[in-house]
Order: sequence, then structure tokens, then C-alpha cells
Amino acid sequence: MNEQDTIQKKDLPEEDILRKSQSDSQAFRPIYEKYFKRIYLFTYRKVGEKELAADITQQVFLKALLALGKFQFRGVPFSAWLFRIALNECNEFFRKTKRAMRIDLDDAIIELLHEELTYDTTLDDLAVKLPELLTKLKEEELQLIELRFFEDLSFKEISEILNLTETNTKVKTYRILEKLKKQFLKQ
Amino acid sequence: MNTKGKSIPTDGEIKELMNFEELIAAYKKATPKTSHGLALLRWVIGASTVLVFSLSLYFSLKPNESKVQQKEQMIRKEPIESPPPETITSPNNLAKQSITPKPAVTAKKEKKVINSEVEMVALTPEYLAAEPIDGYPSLYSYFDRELKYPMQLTKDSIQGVESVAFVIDKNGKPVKIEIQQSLGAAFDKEVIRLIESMPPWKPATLNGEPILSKISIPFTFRIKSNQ
Repeated sequence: MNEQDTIQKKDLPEEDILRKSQSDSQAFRPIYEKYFKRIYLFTYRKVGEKELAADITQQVFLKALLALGKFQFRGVPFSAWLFRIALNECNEFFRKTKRAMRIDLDDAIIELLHEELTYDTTLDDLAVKLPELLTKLKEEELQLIELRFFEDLSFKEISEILNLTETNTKVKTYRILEKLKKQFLKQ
Repeated sequence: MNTKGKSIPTDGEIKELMNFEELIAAYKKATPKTSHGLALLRWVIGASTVLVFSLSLYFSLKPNESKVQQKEQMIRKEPIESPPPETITSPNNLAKQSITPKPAVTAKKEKKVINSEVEMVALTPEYLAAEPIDGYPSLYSYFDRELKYPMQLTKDSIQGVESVAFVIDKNGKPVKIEIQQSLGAAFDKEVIRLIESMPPWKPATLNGEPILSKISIPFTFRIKSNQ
């Protein structure tokens, strides 16, 4: 495939590229290039090893390509579907290897959660206490917080990934934030 | 569970890990291509199955069609003068449907009238309500100018009304600021910021004496389209 072909395919709407990719796998390239980084960073935050995260990401795209015929175009970004596959792949990896899951906290995430949780205390306070607070959350609760604040996804995308309604996703997220807030102020 | 992070891979490192050709190779391996001969054979079998099925369906339906024709003929032989069956919608029925009143709307209107009467009765001549020193138009232009949509939430397209209540104390300053209707923490923060730094107020008075008064203001958050 020459460079011009790639550029032309990049200009097509995402839905058209995906439809074309169902019969021509080479047409999938713009989608792969667009979402690789996000899916890679998502898996990397969970598994913590560069090569391993790359393998899992490659597996995510392969599964997506193989099951492309099942994808339904309902106005939800394709990324939500990829995140769903990635989440399942990571869970499967931890189940098989029995390794401990990890949470990668950077300054931007702490700042974002600080804004949501409380602005009465300093950012440094939260940075110290947050790791312990997050480890106390249930797996489903942690997934919601990760997708919302670590991956910066919309409620619509999260609802699609976790198979919940959008309203339920919002309610659950705010309940978890309230829970975190209470525990944070208690400490 | 480990929460200590390592350094996040750079864009360059991530780009190096991308390998679309490897993905396609794995895809082709997972979906082996059928040979042309086999594909042709499958096509012929499929087409002949469809043909046999449609022929059998045609012959099985044919006697039923003749029965239907016979039935139609019998119906036509019935006298034309017989009254039309009840299932056919008469013009009267249609007229009744179109003039059905909508009680819900009327009830809502009545409720609104009652509320405004109550509000009018509550005012007394000795009481002077609190108001911004520069007047309400100046206050609203301050809100218009200063109210900022929390940019980090544009991805959710949250729009709506956030309501805040506060007390104007005897010195004309806002105290006890509380959110009555919230759109989220970031919106609460923005509204509280606006109320805390708004221009001063004249306190409410009762027979000339300043008193505390509670004010409630709704704020509408909308995302402007880039058209």
C-alpha cells in the first residue's frame, strides 16, 4: 500500500473505514494508528511492562479485527469497543498469571481527582493518601475511576465498555467519589 | 495491588512498538483463505440449496393460493346490500379521536397560576428585599462575563441548570453559600467562585433595620457550538 492510499483512507469517516476493513484487512491501518497509543497506555498502566503491554495491545487489535463483523454502529466511538476488549484481555492476563494488578498514578491524575474530591485540602495530602484509598476500592469501582480519570473517557464511552447505562455509570462514579471523599477526610 | 508507577513510555517508544504488518499476518493466519475451487464448490452447493428450497416452497404454497381464490369468490357472491362490518373505521370514530382533550396540560397551567398568587401575597410593605448595589442588570452582566464552562468536562457535553442559594448578611456580603441543584463538582466550584467574588449587595431591611435574607440564583451552563 502506498502513502497516498493511507492518507485517503485516513480522510474517510471512521464508520466507512471499519466497513471497508470487514472485507479488506489492510484498510484497518488508520484505525490501528489512531488508537494504538491509547490502548497501549491503558494496558501499560495495568501490567507495567513495555513489551508485555505491546503484546496485549496487538492481541486487542487482532481480536477487534477478527470480530469486526459483530461491531454495531450505534454512534458510540470504536475506541469504546477497543477498551472493552483491552479490559477483558488485561483481566484474563491477571487471572491466568495470578499477578498483582497495578495502578499508575501521575500528577495529572492526582490533580484531576483532587478537583473532584475536595478543594479544602492540599494536593500533596491527596497524593500521599490516594494510593491507599484506591487499593481499598472493589475491582468494578476501580475500573470506573480508571476509565473516567486515568483514560479521560466520557460517561457514554464508559457505559459502553462496562455494559451499563449512561445514567447508571454517572451515578456509580459519583458514589465512588463520595466514598473516596469520606475515607479521605476520615484519615 | 501496586500503585507505584514507572516512567510512561514516550511517543517515540510507542511508535516503535506499533507493527501493523505483524497484525495483518496474525489476522491472515487466524482466517485461512479458501482456495478458488473450494469457494466455487461452496457457491454451487449454496445456490442449488436455495433453488431446491424455493421450488418446494412454491409447490407447497400453490394449493393454498387456489383455496384463497375460492374463498374470495364466495365472499363476492354475498349480497352487496349487507351492512359494512364494524371493524371498518367510520368517519364518526375518527372525529371523536381528533377532539380528545389533553388534561395534563390544563392541570400544569392551573398550578402555575396558584404559585404566582402565593408569591404576591408573601410580600409586605415594610420589607425591602436585598439587591445588588449596582442593580440586577449589572450583576447579571458580571455573571455573563465571568461564568466559565469547566473545560475538562466538555467531553461529556454536560449542559443544564445549576442552582445556588446564599444568605446576604447585614453587611451585604454573601455567606452560607450552598448548591441546591448540582451539575458536578467542577460546576459547583465555578458557581461558588462567582458568588464569593460578586459585587456588594444592599442587605434586606425590615422597618429600616438590616436583616439576613436568603437568595437563590440559577446558572445555565451551555456549550457553544463552533459554527
